[in-house]
Amino acid sequence: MQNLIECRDLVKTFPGCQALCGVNLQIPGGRIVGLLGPNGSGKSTFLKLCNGLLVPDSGELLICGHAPGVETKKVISYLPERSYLNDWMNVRQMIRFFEDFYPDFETARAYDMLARLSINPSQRMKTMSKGTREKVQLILVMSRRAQLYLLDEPIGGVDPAARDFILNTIIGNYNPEGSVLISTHLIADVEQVLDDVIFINNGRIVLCDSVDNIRAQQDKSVDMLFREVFRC
Amino acid sequence: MLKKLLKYEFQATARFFLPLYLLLIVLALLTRLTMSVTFESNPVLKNYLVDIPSFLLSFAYGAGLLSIGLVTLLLVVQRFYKNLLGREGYLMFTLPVTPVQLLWSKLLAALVWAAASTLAVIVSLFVLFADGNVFYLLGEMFSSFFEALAKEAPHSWIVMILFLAALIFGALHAVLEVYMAIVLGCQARKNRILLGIGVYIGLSMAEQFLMSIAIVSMALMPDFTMALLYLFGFRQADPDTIYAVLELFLTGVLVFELVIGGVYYFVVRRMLIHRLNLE
Amino acid sequence: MAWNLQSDRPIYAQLVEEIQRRIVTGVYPAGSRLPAVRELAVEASVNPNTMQRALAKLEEDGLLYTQRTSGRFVTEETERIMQAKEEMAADLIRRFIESMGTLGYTSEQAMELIKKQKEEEQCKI
Repeated sequence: MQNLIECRDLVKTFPGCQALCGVNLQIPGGRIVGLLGPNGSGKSTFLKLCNGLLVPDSGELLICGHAPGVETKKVISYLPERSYLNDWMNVRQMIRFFEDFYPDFETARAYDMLARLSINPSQRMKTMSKGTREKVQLILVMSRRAQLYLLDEPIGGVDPAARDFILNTIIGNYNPEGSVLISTHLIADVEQVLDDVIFINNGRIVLCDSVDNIRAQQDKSVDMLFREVFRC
Repeated sequence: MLKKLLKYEFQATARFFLPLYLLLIVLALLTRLTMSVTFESNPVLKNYLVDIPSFLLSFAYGAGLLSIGLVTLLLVVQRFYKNLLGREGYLMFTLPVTPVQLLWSKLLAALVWAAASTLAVIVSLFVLFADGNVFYLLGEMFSSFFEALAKEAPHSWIVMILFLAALIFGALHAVLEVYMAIVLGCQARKNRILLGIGVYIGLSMAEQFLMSIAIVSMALMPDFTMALLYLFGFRQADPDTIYAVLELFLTGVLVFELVIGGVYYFVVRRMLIHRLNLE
Repeated sequence: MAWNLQSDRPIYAQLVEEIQRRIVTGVYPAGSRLPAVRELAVEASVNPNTMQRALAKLEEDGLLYTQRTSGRFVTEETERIMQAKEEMAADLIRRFIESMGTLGYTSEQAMELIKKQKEEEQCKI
């Protein structure tokens, strides 16, 4: 089967810092993958490159066989780490917006999830608390039948109950033929939903393995391994 | 997809423009009402009940006129800077549309609103001043205009079309100049807005310079001076020469708008495709 | 009911154990239908692929079986379930004796301790 993400020698520099230096990576379909690394290790940069929000300096990046563009944006569902919705819209308008642009958006599922959280669809984004806004964003992103879900820090800075909701929404809703890439530095919280982990540090891939392999071979959790690899 | 983008672009902007247009027309209506009230029997009361509100209303109307211009400019900037290059850009640039479609959705909406704002101002002026006499004069003007248009065809038509084209491309050029300043300003990491304003001033100055060279070189043509003299009623001249000169002048303006606007368009387009670096 | 998963052992193995425990204790009775993979995964907050693998393992062991159209069921053979229960008990005992061994007790001494503790508890009542 074709890899969903295929990248070779990917390099991206910002003025004064090298964000990615020669990343090689393949992500096949049907996996939940953790992109793990400390702050500033290049996780967000990689996800932005996949989304075409940044342009690479050199190297090759293919999503489902295409360079980032209209074709790849159709199959990627992206959750940025910041709030990015039009804050003058209410939830219902936002749902219509997604429905209009993404043919794979499932409206009924979105309303169902909102109802379960008792979020009022007439509420404007602007008047919501930060936590609610993040949940609405996640609901919109996970209501798509996408090939690739790219979630940037979906559980950064939320309370444990919200974290459970977020993780359960992800595993309960992603398209099983597709893959999910979750970037985070909170490893202990996500490791039991992951198939594979990718450790990234200073713009380089340090390790790529499955969670069960790590636990079976090293007799320790991914979190503990992470602490060892990235010991300051 | 461009259609859908435009739909949402108008949705996002109409909520500012439409109430403002309505406000302007209501203010014009009220001003007119207070101006037409006669209250001669009691001058003191008239002062309080009519003159002061009338003065305040006409002041508010003037502020309304000014704010329409400002809001139009502000929204041209804000819809491009905030919606595409700010945090909302994460949403817009991950939609399955091309950067070029995004650019055109902003550009066309800006153009339509600029036209609508002009129209709203004209309508409000009519509300304020128009009576039977004004309509009669306007009717006269239009009929003699169309008469002349018909009589002096095809030259008159060519001039008309050239004029309209220069107007539209002039507006596109003006909007693109703003986009260009924003896009270049955003290449900086800090002081983006300051740099953007600097770029804008620089571009305007460069354009002024080019324009004055063009005008001076045109003025050096003897026919052109003659046409000007004719236009201001100083001299009689042969209409064919006048039209030839007018056509030449308008073509010059159009080419200027097309070239400068085209350069801006391609730079902005290229930046959005190849140099998009959202924070 | 909680799925208490530890962080230092493969999740897959822990899921197998937990479901097996639920079958032998009757939480999932013999012949009953199991929730869908996705549902179980959400309930346990684990990856659906891992849950799928755990279920496949139990199917291989004969504790579960799949009917192509209607889903996955617990086996109707109660002997098979009893056998699993005994295996689990044996495993527990083996680990208990091992732990006692590290404290320096022989299995006989350990058994004596169990008896003594049981009697003491009965006296209290």
